[in-house]
Amino acid sequence: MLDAVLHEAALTRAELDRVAFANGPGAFTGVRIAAATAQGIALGLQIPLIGVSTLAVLAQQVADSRGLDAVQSMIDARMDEAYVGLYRRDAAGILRLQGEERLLPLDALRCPGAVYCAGSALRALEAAGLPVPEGDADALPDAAALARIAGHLAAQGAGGDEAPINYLRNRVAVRKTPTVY
Amino acid sequence: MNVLGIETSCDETGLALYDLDSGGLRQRLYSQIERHREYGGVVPELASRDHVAKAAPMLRELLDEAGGVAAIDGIVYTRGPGLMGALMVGASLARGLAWALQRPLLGVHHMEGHLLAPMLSERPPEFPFVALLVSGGHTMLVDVAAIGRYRLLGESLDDAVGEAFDKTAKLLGLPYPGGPELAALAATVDHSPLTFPRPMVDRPGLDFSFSGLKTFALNTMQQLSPLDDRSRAEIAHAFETAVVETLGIKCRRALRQAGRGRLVVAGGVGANRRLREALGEMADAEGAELFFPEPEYCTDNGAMIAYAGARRLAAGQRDEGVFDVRPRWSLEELTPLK
Repeated sequence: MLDAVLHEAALTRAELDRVAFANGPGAFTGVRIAAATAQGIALGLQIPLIGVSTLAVLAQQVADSRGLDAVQSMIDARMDEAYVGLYRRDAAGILRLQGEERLLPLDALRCPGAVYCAGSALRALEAAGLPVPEGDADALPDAAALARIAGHLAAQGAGGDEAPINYLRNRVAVRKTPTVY
Repeated sequence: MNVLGIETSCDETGLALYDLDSGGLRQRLYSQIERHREYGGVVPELASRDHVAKAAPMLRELLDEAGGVAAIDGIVYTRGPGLMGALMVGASLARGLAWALQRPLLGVHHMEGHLLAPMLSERPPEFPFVALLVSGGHTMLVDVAAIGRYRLLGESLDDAVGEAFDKTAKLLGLPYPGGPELAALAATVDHSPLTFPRPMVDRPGLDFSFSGLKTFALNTMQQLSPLDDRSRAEIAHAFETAVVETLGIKCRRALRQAGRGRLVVAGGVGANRRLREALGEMADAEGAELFFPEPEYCTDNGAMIAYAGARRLAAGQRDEGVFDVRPRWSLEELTPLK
């Protein structure tokens, strides 16, 4: 796929200036595959790495395809929770995070005002029998939206050796107290 | 040919650059043990998180030292067996790097890395040999005729020997990973009045079973509870004696059955002092040569992957087309070198 994209764009590896990846939140292993692959490319080509929120990428993709100025991204996080972020378009056309990205229980999800909602959490709401706001449950973050955001960030000088993953869900293990005889 | 090896199959992030021509080696190793200790075992998700956070910075450091990415002629990574999510990190990093540098890429079998680790020592064994692989994840006896020509002689039907050590240590209230701590506790007494069973030594095969030994330890502890320091040490001693003797009996049987005169011991449990002594005595009595990898290559590391991969890359092997990892993967599926 990497070769096919470069071929279509009539670019060589050496002409790449940055490598960007969606740095979460989302399925842990999936995010890490993107992160580690991007790390390998950045190291090999000796170019900076840019991490962009999966929620931001989803918002950009939906806002651009529907001509909207605000989108609330809501990705199903399983375990009756969702990753949520509210985004508004800035003067440069980039969707900017309003407040914080959060991991919320499905029944605590709210759509502020008449903001268009997008993401797999809409389907989770429906399955849980909760009210479903207006939006697109099938929308997925895509690499073109990621590249648009990253291109804008790169023009502002973003990028570096490291780009940490933003898991949002960090309670992933339980401490056990062993029985002592 | 300079080969980069990437190992992320469990809880060690290992990187190495191995020069097949000169034997020169540079490596980096990061152990996550501290992170997993409070959970009493390896938490796969935390392991994967650590790999993806540590591997790239470690690699940058290693390459800076080696003169940059131009030093890499080929890239190999642990394809399996191991934790799926952890394997994916090393495999993805390797794949991204290989694509960027347009260098050959190959997934390596983790256990082949262990089998060949003794080749990195100053006194490498010659083929053929019998290998005993004993670690937290594996217990197996393998007949090694040559690189890629492996025959599984026996393996654990349940817990790996290192796992049995760690679990019994946990029952004794020792912190994870308790194997070495259990051995240290056992060494505080000269002998034990307790006798633990030697599992599966009275049948002809070369398979192992260690979970019963852990249960025997638990039952003993419950009978003797509350335990004082001396009885804890005696339990540890009796447990270790049973494991060491069982391994010794099976190794002798494996050498005779396979008709080999060399025994190679690899894996973290190979660092156990009493096991080394017992196998030394057994090998002397059998007239066999005994080999241990350097202690740093006993546990998981990038060097053994770089070595095994370098030999295969040099023989023309490459990853073709489909890219995957193999959390479960038999050694016997591997192809011999041409």
